[in-house]
Amino acid sequence: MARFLYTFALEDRSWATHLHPMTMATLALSVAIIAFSTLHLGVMGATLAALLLFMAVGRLPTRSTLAPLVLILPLCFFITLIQTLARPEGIVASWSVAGREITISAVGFILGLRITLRVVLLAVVLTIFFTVVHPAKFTKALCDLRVPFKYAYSFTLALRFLPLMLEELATIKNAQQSRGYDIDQRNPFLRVFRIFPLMVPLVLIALRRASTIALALDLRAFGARPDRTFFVDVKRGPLDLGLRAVGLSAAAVVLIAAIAGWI
Amino acid sequence: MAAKAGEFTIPLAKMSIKPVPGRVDSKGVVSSIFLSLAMIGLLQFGERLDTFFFGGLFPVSGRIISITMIGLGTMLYGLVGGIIVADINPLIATATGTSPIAPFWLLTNAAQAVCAWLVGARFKNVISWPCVVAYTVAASLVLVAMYIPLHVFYFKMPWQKMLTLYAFQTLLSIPVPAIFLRGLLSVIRNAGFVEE
Repeated sequence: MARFLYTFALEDRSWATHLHPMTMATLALSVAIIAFSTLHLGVMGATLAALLLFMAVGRLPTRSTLAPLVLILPLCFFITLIQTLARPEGIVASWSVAGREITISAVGFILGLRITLRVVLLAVVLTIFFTVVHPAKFTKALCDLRVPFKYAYSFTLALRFLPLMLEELATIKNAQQSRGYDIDQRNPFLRVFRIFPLMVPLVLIALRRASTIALALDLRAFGARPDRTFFVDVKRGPLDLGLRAVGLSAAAVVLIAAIAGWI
Repeated sequence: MAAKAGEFTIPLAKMSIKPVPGRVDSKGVVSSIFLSLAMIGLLQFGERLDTFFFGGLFPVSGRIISITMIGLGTMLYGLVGGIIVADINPLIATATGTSPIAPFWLLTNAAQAVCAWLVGARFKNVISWPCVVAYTVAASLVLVAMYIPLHVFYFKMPWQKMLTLYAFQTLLSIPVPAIFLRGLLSVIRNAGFVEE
């Protein structure tokens, strides 16, 4: 199980963790708008540089923030491969295999790399978001936006109980293995069908545990009073307003330039 | 609505409470969250396989697990419960850094919950083959319809050349989740978790 990214926010070692969660959400949205608007290398490179600068100035942990990028490498490899083999323009090599022509497209290869940069941009901004946003502050910010507490709290509750469920899954897997069942030793094509013996006990345990927890929550009058109090507070400062303005302005400029065909 | 003699009716499929919003008391919300956590655990197996074959571009195992679990959540707890099951997973996957592109599943997973609600509300008994097959067909077709724009606009993929892969995905994501979902619903009913 990967280390939770928000552990950094809990440690409270950076000014970035004091930003309003909606400021970070606005920045993430702005980067998403930029990434979807254009595949221009200069624009995407500048956006990535800005994100890396934010990480450096905010003293975010480089290793844990950029580690998730390793996970998107296979995806980017397949995207570039498909683009290189499937694009009809800019063919640099071709040969016939079993009566079928295989072509290598330079245009497709470059396009694959540009799309890789787009994926990286979105991955980095989302990782930064979850690195600096404290889950309790996120819940408070959602409540301030009039999201009912029961739903705003569900994300925090899920984060809290995830290790427990993964532990249950490991126990079930061990129990099934002791009966001769082994999901890891079989044909990978058939492995998905072998999930069912794990699925049934896991779902039943999940429902049983949920009943107990819901009862405990109800006994403590969960959601009985609409005016909740929080042990954390979120406030908008001048830096929040500045960052929101910069992010949204940049997104608007890029969007307009893309629509006008300038980039 | 009363069930026929000898026939069991899961609440929320013609239903003792309305499917929208569904069951939104503490038990409904917490149970949906736990089903979502179970889905996250199971996806650990599926995603490894999908990443190995197509880098996660054409998820097959992940789709089978998500259709099963989101259908289960929606048919047990209604649309809100289904959306909780569907949308906690992308958020957690991003927060744990296990899948940075997971936010794109927010829409695709929510669409599966909507399919389960629309189909489930039309059947008297969701623990039936016609219901689960109708749901998996609807969910699979909606997913293909949503993935093509994603592949075209986001990844700039030549979708015409990938129809075989879409067909392979759909071929597996209709029968397998139907069998899994039917089995899970029966087990849950027999274990006494369904409250009428």
